[in-house]
Amino acid sequence: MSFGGGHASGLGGAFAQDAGGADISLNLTALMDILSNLLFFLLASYSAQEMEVQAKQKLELPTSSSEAKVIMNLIVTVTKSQVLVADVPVATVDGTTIGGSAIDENDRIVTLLQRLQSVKASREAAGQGGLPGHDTILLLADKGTDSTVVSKVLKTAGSSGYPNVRFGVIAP
Amino acid sequence: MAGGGGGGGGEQKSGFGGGANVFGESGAVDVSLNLTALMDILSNLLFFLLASFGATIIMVINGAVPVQSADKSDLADTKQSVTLNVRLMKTGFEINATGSGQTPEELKALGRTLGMKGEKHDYAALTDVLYGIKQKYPKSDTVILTPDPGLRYETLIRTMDAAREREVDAVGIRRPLKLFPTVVVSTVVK
Repeated sequence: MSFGGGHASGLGGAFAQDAGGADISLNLTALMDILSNLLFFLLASYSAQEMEVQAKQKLELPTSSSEAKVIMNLIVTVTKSQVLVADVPVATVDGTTIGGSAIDENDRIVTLLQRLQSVKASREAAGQGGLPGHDTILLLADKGTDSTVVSKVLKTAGSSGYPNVRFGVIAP
Repeated sequence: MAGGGGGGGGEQKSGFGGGANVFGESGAVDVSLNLTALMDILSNLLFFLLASFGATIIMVINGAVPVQSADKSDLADTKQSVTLNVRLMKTGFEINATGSGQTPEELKALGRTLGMKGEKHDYAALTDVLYGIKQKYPKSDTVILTPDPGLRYETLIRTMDAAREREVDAVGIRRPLKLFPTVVVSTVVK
């Protein structure tokens, strides 16, 4: 970008000998305005948090034609190897098998149940029990996850006071 | 920002300094700003933001899990609506309807089984069947999905897509028509 203005312009300077020392000066103010506006709107719509989740856990979300915008809720993530609640691992996943936690008679993942109930209780204690989305989780599951695992996670979430689910997907 | 004439050349009159002000008084100092370095910074920022922008777009599909409730039911209770049950199997889809405003014969007539299309589920056929039911019962909006064990999560999401909407022709203009946007994910009771 060294072809801007300045007293000895870069562009002018590069051809200074051929052009017989002509000093070209460019008015960059309008371009500055455009770039600043672009930058502002890009930063305003930039959601770094989701990208971080996706990159960190090597999670491949399924694609969908849904156009509903993401609203941040309590995030439950199911990767190829773990189940996490707000980035805290609660169980392991190996294909269709869930490890690191007991499964109760109602097919619920016990450690996940305890963690979700604990989060709900602490939110209610903080006076956030009645806020919109208090009974909703954002489920970010790898597209290759077995439906058995997803069903168990959903059943556990429903039992612990989170019957509404937002399924995280990416645009094609 | 729109100072006008602020970039580059030392010869030009700058909007920040030189020239007459709004009161017609001539400026005393001729200031010219070199914006080249700032341009470099902004261009770099813009490049990296644009490069990482496509990867961050996350959308959602709203859904629910069935819970016991004394005062609320997912079962359709009018003559113009039914609740659909779509079972996702490894061999295709099984569609059934429930409702309290229809006779058992009417509901049974809506039942259908769809096979696979090659090695994949036939999502287009599912959308067509649901569109037919939606035309017959236009107030319907709820579908209960029951995935069999062994299916991929991706299949569940694609089924939600197929059940959500379909493009229709309306006086020569193609527009999306909502089919069954309310999704409940259930499990097979053993």
